[in-house]
Amino acid sequence: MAVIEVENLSKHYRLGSIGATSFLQDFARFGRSIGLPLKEIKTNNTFTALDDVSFRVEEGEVLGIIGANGAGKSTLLKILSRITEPSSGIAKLSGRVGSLLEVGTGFHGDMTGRENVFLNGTLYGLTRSEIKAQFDSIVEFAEVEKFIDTPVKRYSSGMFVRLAFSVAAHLQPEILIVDEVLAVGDANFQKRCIGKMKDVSQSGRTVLFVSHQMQAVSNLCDRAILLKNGKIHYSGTTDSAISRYLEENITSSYQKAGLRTDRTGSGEAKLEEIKLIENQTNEKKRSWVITTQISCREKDYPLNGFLSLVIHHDGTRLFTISTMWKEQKVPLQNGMTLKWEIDTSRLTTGQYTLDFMIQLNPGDQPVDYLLNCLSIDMPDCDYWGTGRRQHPGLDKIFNDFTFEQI
Amino acid sequence: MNKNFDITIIKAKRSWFDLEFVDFLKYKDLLFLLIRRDFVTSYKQTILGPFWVIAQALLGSAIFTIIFGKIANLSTDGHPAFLFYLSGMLGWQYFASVYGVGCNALQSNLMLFSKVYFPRLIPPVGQAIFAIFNFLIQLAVFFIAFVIYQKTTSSVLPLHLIGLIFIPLLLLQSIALGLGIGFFISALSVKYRDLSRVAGMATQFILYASPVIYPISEIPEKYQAFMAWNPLVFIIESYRKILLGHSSDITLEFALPSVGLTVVVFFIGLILYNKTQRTYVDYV
Repeated sequence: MAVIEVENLSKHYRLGSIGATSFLQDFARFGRSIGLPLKEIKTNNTFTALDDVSFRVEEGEVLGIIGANGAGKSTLLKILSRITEPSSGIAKLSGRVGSLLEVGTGFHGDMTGRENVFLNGTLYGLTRSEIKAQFDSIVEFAEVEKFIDTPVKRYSSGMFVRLAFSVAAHLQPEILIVDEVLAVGDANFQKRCIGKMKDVSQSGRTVLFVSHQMQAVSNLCDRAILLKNGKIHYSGTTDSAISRYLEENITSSYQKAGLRTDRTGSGEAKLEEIKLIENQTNEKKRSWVITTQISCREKDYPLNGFLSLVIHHDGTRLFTISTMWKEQKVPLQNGMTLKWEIDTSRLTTGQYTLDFMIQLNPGDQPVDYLLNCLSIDMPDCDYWGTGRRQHPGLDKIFNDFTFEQI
Repeated sequence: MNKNFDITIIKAKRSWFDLEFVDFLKYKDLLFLLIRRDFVTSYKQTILGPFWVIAQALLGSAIFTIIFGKIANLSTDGHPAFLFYLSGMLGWQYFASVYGVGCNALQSNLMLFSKVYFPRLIPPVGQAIFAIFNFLIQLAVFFIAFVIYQKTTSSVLPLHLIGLIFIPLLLLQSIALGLGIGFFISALSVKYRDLSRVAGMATQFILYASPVIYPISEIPEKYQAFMAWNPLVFIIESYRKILLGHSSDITLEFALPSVGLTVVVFFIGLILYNKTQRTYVDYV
């Protein structure tokens, strides 16, 4: 049985500032609605956040919704949670809906944990007796037994989040809508949250789950929808939707380096073009595929040399790759193109820049030396698969390790 | 949990008159807990707590007594000036606080309204009910002053206890009127913030257009017909009649236009508020 049926749902936003013009438009619209022959003032500044979206979710199914920022995920959830109305289309939800767009909505610092649990629960539509029945298990899951009668402003941020999520996790509606809330809390707690949500779905309830953490989506969801520019771009199994998403969100970078004049070197050969494609096969395995094309002054032909790329991260020289390390000279001739593949799985988030160099022999003055050929933003990644981030901006690499108690 | 099959239909352009009253009843526990939250949090970290409500009532009436009673020498219909202003302030301040709640209903609850669905009428109604607490404190202050005047002077008529049963009805009318006007302003100022300025000025205007600092009998006969268009005239005059020994003067003739107008204002405000809340998070 379809528990959620969404048909042709669209949402348009009016852009631009609100002022005298929009006042006149409103006035004219009101006039037309009561039958006055007023002309419509045409404006083109509308933005379509959701464009004719239709899908169905069966009972007990866990549907993931993924997509880049601005693809329409939040708008869809806001409409299904009745925070705002669609511009057209219809959605039918059968059963009680619990929608979790934020943890700790309505929490008040001056009130105790106990008071907040009750207030928060009733905000989500529970009655006091329903909360009372679950109270002990909420407190136990959040591990705040000792502090339950302390005002929550004295809680550590971890305790606060645990308590807030715990209420939400115990909502037990027939349809649970969850947006990005797992981004909070420590790894251990996140794991328990996912476990809890799995329990929810296994008890026959339906879950809509939005997240940027592909790991969590693939753990939890049977099926996923990929949104792009407000439309359903792909709908199918979670794994194929995720790989589709990762494929389409690669960044590529290109520079016509031959035109640059801010280069040093003796000039027998120079870099013409450099192109980088980010290749992400899954959350953990990432690489850059770089192609470099060079040109050569005819009179110096034939020449052989070493090509090198120097990678900087946030202003620190990180490492160099070079044909020199492999003792291989390449011919310096017009149109000669090298394809490099660099494993970047262990690079942390941040900005990376590349320098390019041609040398005839190790230790020689360069033939061509070009700084900052490319700059690439490395997206955040969940290297350890636990949701735990290494210190972003401080740590430069991930390094695998093992440990054991002896 | 019982498997109840509520069906939610989400679509564009619902009727203006879909007021979600059924949902309101389902969320009555939330209403109760929000009122309790206001209790718990409003006097946190104040030393004197509810004393400030008493101080405000006494100080306000004392100032009115000096300025309007002693200096401007306005009539108080033969009542002791202090009690006259205290009883006028009672009705006025309750109305003004409910009106204030209404004017900010959408704006001050944005954090909640943009994250979770529940009937949008609950927070303002809860705050209006919570304001009754302050009203009762002021009422107690009035009775203490009343007894003191009764013991020391002969200028006070005895209190008709029977008249007090009208007070809950007057409170209900104040809520309907205050929220009605407030909702209207709150809904329109979502898009046009100019209106929130108007709301502040309107408070001053309504105060002087209502018989808070003067008795209605001071208004020339030919203008009294205009005063009947202000539903607040009935409310404030009635409090005074009940508390100062004239409760038998309240007639149906006096009540009907005011109550009728209040009902109309309340529904216009409510419909506009309800229509606006459905999409207002897109604008603010």
